Amino acid sequence: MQVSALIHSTGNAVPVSATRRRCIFMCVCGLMLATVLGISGCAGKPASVSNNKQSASEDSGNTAEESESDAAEAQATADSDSDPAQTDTPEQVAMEVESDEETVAEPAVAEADSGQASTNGDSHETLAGDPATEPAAEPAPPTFEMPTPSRRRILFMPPTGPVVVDLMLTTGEHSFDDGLEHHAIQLIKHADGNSDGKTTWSELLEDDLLVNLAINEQQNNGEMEQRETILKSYDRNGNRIVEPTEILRLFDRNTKGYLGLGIQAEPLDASKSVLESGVRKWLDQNGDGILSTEDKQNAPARLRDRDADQDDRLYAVDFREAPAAMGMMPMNYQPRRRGPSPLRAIHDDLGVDEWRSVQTDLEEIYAFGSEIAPDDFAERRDLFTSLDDNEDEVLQLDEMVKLNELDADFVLYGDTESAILTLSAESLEAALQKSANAKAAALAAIAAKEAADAKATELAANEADATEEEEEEEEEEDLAEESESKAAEEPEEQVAESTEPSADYYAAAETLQENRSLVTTLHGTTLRFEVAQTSNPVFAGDAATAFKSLDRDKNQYLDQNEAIALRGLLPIEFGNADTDDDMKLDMNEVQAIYDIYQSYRSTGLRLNVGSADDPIFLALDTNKSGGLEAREIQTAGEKLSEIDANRDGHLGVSELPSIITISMTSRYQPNNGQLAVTPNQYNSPTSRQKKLDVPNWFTQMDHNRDGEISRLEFIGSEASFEKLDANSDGFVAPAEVAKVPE
Amino acid sequence: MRHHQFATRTLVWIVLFVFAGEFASGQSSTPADTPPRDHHDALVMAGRVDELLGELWAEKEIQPAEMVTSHEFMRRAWLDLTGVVPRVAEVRKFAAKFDGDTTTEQRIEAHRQIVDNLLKSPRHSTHLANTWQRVILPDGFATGMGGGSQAMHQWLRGRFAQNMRYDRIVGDFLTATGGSESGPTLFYQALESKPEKLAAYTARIFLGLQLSCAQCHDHPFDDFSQEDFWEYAAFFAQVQGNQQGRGYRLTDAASGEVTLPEENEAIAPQFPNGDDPKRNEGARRVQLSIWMSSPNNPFLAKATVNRVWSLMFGTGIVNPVDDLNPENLPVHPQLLEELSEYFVESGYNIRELFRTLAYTKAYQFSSKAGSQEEGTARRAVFAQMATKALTAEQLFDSIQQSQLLSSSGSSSNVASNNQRNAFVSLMENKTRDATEYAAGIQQTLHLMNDNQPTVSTIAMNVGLTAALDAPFLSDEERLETLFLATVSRFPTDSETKLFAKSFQSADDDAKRAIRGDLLWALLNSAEFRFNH
Repeated sequence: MQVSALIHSTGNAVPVSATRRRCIFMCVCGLMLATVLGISGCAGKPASVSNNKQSASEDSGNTAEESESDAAEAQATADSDSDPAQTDTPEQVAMEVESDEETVAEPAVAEADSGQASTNGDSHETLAGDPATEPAAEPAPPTFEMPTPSRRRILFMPPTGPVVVDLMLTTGEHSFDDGLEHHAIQLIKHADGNSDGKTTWSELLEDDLLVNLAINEQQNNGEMEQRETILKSYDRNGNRIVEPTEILRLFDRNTKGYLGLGIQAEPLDASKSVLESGVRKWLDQNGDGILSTEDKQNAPARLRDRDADQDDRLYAVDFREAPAAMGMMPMNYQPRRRGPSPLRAIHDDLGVDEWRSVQTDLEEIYAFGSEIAPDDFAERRDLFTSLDDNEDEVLQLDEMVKLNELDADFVLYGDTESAILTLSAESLEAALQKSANAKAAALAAIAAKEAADAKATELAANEADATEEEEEEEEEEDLAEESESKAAEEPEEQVAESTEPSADYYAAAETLQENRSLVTTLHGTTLRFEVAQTSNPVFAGDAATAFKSLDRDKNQYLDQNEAIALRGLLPIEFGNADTDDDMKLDMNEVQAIYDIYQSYRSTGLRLNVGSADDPIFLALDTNKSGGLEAREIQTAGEKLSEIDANRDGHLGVSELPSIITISMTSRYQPNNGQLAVTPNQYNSPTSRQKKLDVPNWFTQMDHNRDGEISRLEFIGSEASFEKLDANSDGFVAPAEVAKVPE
Repeated sequence: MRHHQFATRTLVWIVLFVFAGEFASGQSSTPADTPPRDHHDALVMAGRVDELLGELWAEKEIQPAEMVTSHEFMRRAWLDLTGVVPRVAEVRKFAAKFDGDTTTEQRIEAHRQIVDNLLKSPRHSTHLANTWQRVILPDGFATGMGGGSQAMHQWLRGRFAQNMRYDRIVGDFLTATGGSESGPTLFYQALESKPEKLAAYTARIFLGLQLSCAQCHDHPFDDFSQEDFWEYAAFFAQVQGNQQGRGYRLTDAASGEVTLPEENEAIAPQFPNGDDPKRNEGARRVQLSIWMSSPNNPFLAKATVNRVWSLMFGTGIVNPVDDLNPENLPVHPQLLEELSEYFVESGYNIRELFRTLAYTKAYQFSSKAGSQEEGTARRAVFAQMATKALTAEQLFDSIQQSQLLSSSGSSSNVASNNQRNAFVSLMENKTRDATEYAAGIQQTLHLMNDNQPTVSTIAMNVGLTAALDAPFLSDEERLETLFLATVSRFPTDSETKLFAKSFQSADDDAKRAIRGDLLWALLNSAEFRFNH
C-alpha cells in the first residue's frame, strides 16, 4: 500500500529526473516483490502503448509483445538487454502511465504494471509465468494490458437458493481498490483551496461541486442546511483533514461496509411480484385472479391493445401504472416492502454481528426464521453441504464464514473507469475489449456526425438559393421535376455524403447498448446483470472529444448555452466550472471537469436489485430481448398455458421462472438518476442477425427490430411476401431471405 | 285447480318482472361499451347528418364536391383516426380491393370497413390521447415536464382505449387527486391550482365557454357576468395542490372561498347554467363533476360534438371551436342540436361519434375545388372537405413511419420520446386551427435541412432507402413504394415516366441517391404535409 501510495500521490506532471530516481528505487522493491508474488500482466492506456511504439528503443517493440507472449519468450528478450533496465520495466511502466504528460524518455518501454497493485493482496488471480523474471503473459487482447482486479463478493439470495457472485473490478490501470484511493486523492486535491497539499473539511465545504455531489446524491433538499454537520460527521478520525477513505464514505454515505460499493435492494417477494404483475392484471379481464381459458385466448388481442404506437413491440413499462408526475425527474414509484434484502456484500472484515445478520437473513428467507436445514436451500443443497463443516445438517454461525472462502458460483469482470461500464463473464480482457469497442464506435460516430453537420450547413446555404428560384414553379406535378433537377445539381454531394453520419450514430448507441447486459442461469435462477447508464456517445470519449462535439460554433470555447450539456456529466454550475471567470469554458476547464467526473464515478459502484420486474412479462419474453415482439404476442396464449402446468388458472411462483435483475451503475447517473432497470432496447435478435450476416435492407425493413419481417412491415407486394415466406407462418425470417437468388 | 292458479300467478309475476326490467333499462342510458349492432345507429345518424347538410346546401344553392378517391380517403381516415399515414403494406392491401370496376356503393362500403378497423386499432386511442393532451395542457406543458406529460398521456389513453363515457372522463379529470393516478395533476400543477385559472381553462376546454374576459368585468357580448365567472371559479376554491415527495397531490379542503377581485364578499358556487349546487353534499369539485354529466348541462355535449367535428372536418360547426357564445353562430344550428342529443343518448360515446361522422357522405367529399370562391363557399357549409395541415405530432409520426425509422426503444408511450417532444415543440401550430398553416421559416428549414427528421434521405443505410435495396424489388416497385410510403398512392403515369428516365442511365449508387432525393422531396412536399 505504501509503495502504491507513493506512486499514486505524485500526480501527473513529474520531472523526468525525479522519475528516474524513483524508478531505481522501485526496481529494487519491485524485484523483491515480483519474486514473491508473481507479477501479473501489464496494463496501460492505448496512448502509452502507441507511445511505446514510437519510442526509439529497441525494447519497445519487443516489450510490447512480451505481455502477450509467455514467460519464456520474455525471458529471452530480457536477457538481451541490460538486466537492471529490463527488470525495471514493470515498475517504470507503472510510472509512465501515471504521469500522463510524460513522454517515454526511458529506454525501457512504458508498459503499465499494476504489479504494485497486486502487492496489496486484493487480487485473487494468480497468473502463469515465471515470477522470477518478466511479467507473466496472459492471452491478452490486442491493445490492452490489465491490472489485477479487486474482488467484491456478493451473496444473492433468490428463492431457489443462495448464489455467490464475485465481481472482479478494475479502475482503468489500477485495481479497483487502488483506483479508489487514487481517485479519492484527486478529488481531495480538487478541494484543496489553499494548495497546501492537505484538504481540511472546511475547505471541502467551500468546494461547491463536491458538496453538490455529496448531498445532491440523496436528492434530499432538507440536507443542504445541515451540510456542514453532515460532512464533518464523516471525519472519522477527527483530525479535520479529509482522508481518502473518509471522502469515499461521504459520497457513499456508508460508514462501514465495502468501500466504493453501494447496495440497494428491496426484499424479493416473488409471490408478490406475480400478484402485482402488470401483465397478469391486464390479461385477467374479470379481475378474479384466475387466467381462464378465455383470458388466455384473448391474450394476443388484449396485449396488442397496450401497443400505443402499434409497432408490434411491447415493453414491460407499458403495463405499469402511470408514473407519479414529477417536477423534473420521472421515477417509477414502487412501494417499499418489508423483509430482508436479497443482496449482501461478503468480505473479510465482517464482524460477528454482521455474520449473525447474514445468518438471520438466510434463515428468514429460506427457513421461515428457524434453523436452516439442507432442503431449505432448494436448488443449492450443494452449497449447504460445502458450508456444513461438521455435517450436523444445521448451519451454525461459525460455518457462515465459509461463504467468504468458497469458490464463487459466478465471476463477473468489469472496469469502472471506462466511460462505458461493461461486463463480461469470460475475463477482464473481454470486458475491457467490449468497452474499447463501444468507445471507438462512439468516437467514430461523433466524428461522422460532425462531418455531416458541416455538410448540412453547406446544404442549407445551397438549398436557400435553390428554393428561391423554384418556389414559383412549385406545384404537385412539378415536384418530380424539382427533385430531378436537384439530383442533377448535387449528385456528387449526395454520394459524398455516404459517410452516413447518423447511421453510425445509431450504430454506436446500439453497440453501447449491446454491452450493457449479461444473463446467466445458475441453479434454477436467472440472473440478469444490467448496466443502467446513459448512452450518450458524446461523453464516451475523453474531454477533448466531448469539447469538440459540444463546441458547435467551433470558437474553441464553450459559452453558457453550449455548456449546458455538461450537466449531463456532473451537476456543475457554470460559475464553478469557469475558474478564470471569463464567461466561457476553455479546454482546460472542461478537462478539469472531466477529471473530477472520472474520479467521482470511478469510485463508486452501485448495485440495485429492484423487484420492479414483471415475472410474467419476462416469462412471455422468450427470446429475452426486453420486449414482447410480434411472434411472442401471437403465441402468448399458448405460452401462458404452458406455464400454467397444472391448468388451474393460477400462475404460481413455482411455475414461473425465477429471474433477478441486478442493475449496476457507476455512482452518478446524469439526466435521470434512475436506477430501475431499463430493458435492452437494441435487443439480442439484432445482434443475432448480425452474426447471421443478415443484409442491411432486411434489418431496416424490420421496423420493430424483432428479427423478422411481418406482413405489415413488408414493403413489397403480397406476391413477393408469399414467395419469401417459405413456411407460410406470416413472417419472413432471415433464413428464408438467404435462399432468395439475387 | 290451485296448482293451475299458482302456475298462472307465477307466470304473471315473471312477465311483470321481465317488463319491469325492460322498463327500467329503458330509462337508464346505454352503457357506452356495448357496441350497437352492426353500428346501425351510427349509419342512421350519418344519414341524418347528410340529410341536414343537404337541406343547407339546397338553401344556399351550393353543389357539393365529388367523392374523394379511395387512396385519398385512406390517407385521410388514417390521419384523422390514428394520427399517422398508413403503412405501405396497408395501402397495398386496400388498394387491391379497389382494383377494377367498383361501384360507388362498394367503395363507400369499403371505406366504412376501413373506418371500423381503424377505430378498433390501438393507435386510435393513442391519437385521441395525443389530441386531447394538446387541447388540455397549456402551451409548453405538453412536451416538457418529463414524467408528467407521459402520465397524462397514459391516463387519457387508458380511458379512450376502454371507450369510457366522455362525461365520466371529464368527471374523473375534474376530481383528480394525484398520487398513482397522476395524469391530470400536471394540468393542475401547470395552473398552480388557482381557482380562476382552473375555471377559465376547464370552461374553455370542456364546455366551450370563453370565460376569461369575465374574470375582470362582465363579458362584452356573452351573457356571462363577472359574478357568473367567479361563481363557477368557486367550485375550484377549495382545491389544494401540494408537492408531496415525488408527486403532486390534490386535496379538497374544508374551506376556501373566492371573492370578486378587490372585494371581500365570498361568492357562492353556482353552475354555469344558473343552477345551485346542493349544500353539504360532498366536495365542490365532486358536485361539479356530477353536474357535468347531468341533462341540465347543455354545454358539454355541444362543445364535444363541435370539437370532434372540427377534428374530422377541419372547422367546427361553430368557430372558433371552443367559443360557443351567442355571437358565434353555428353554421347549422339544427345539426349541432341533433348531433348533441345523439351524443348524449349514445352515452357520451366518443368512438361512436367518430364513427358516425366518418360514415357520412360529407366526410367523403374531395378537397378539390374549381375556383377559389367556389371552394370557400363550399367549405363553409361542408360541401367540400377542407385541407387540414398535419399537426406536429401527426407530422413527426408520419415522417418516422414513412422512412421506416424505429421509434424510441424503451416504451410504447409516444409521449416518452424526447426527440418527438423536441420536434413537436418546434413545429406545433400555436393557433390550434387545422386550416391555418402557421409554419414559418424555422419549421420549414428544420424539415428541409436538419438531419434528424429526414435522416433516411441522407444516410443510405438507414430506413426506407436502405430497405429499398431489397433484391426482390424492381426499380418500378421501388418507385411505387416511395410514393406509397409517403403520399399513400401510386405514382401517376407522368411521374413514373419521369423517373424511369432518370433511373435508366444511372448506376446503383446514383439510383440510390436519386431515391433518397425523391424521398426527401416527397417528405417536404405539400401533398405529404397536408391532410387533403
